[in-house]
Amino acid sequence: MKTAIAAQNSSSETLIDKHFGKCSHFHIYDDISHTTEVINNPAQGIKGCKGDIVVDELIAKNVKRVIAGDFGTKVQQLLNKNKIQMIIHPDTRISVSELIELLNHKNN
Amino acid sequence: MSPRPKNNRTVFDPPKFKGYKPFGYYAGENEPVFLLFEEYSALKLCDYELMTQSQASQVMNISRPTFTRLYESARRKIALALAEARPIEVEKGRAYFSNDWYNCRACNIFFTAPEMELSSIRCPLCQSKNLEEITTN
Repeated sequence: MKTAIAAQNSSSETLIDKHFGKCSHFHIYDDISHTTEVINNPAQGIKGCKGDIVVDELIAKNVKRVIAGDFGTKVQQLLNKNKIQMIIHPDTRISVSELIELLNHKNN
Repeated sequence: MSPRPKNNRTVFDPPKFKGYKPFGYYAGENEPVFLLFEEYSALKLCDYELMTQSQASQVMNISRPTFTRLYESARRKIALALAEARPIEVEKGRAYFSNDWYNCRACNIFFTAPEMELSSIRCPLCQSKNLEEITTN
């Protein structure tokens, strides 16, 4: 299953982003091949609602689960419609690598 | 004649807290103010996501005048809590969640579980089964 983590930059030690739509990069972790792909947020710099651009990009990458500090209302509607699992991590002091470790632990 | 029943207000995500407490107030603890889930949601939509009241009312599936009353009630309750140094507690009102949310008591995250059977739901991060289901129905 592929998991997209909203992050503040492209490094694996970066913290997760408070807002799903406004983050700068997504780290897409594949728990079958244990690889991480980093993509830029396609909607960065666009003003207003950008949920549809982000969700389309993530669907194209076959992502089934997303993690962020918070989700906007419109993006929640879209994610819900596309049956993508949302995880809200209220403590945004956790780094992407720590989260990947937690997701990994599950398979062991 | 009985009054007309209230419609359910659609709420997207649950508040990430159970309440707020004032600090540095020496007169002891006051009676809490109960803020409803839908009032919190109205305030978030208008003042955090910066929607207009008419857009926010469509999101919550209520009429614009109902939304305005709800929003005003939220503002008044928060002003009351601040002015009288009273704690705020969130309470379920007539909120209807568009998704079923689960709160993991072990690692304090919120998550949805689309297309999963109730018995097989576990916390995606710590695998704990110590979950609280956040629904009002």
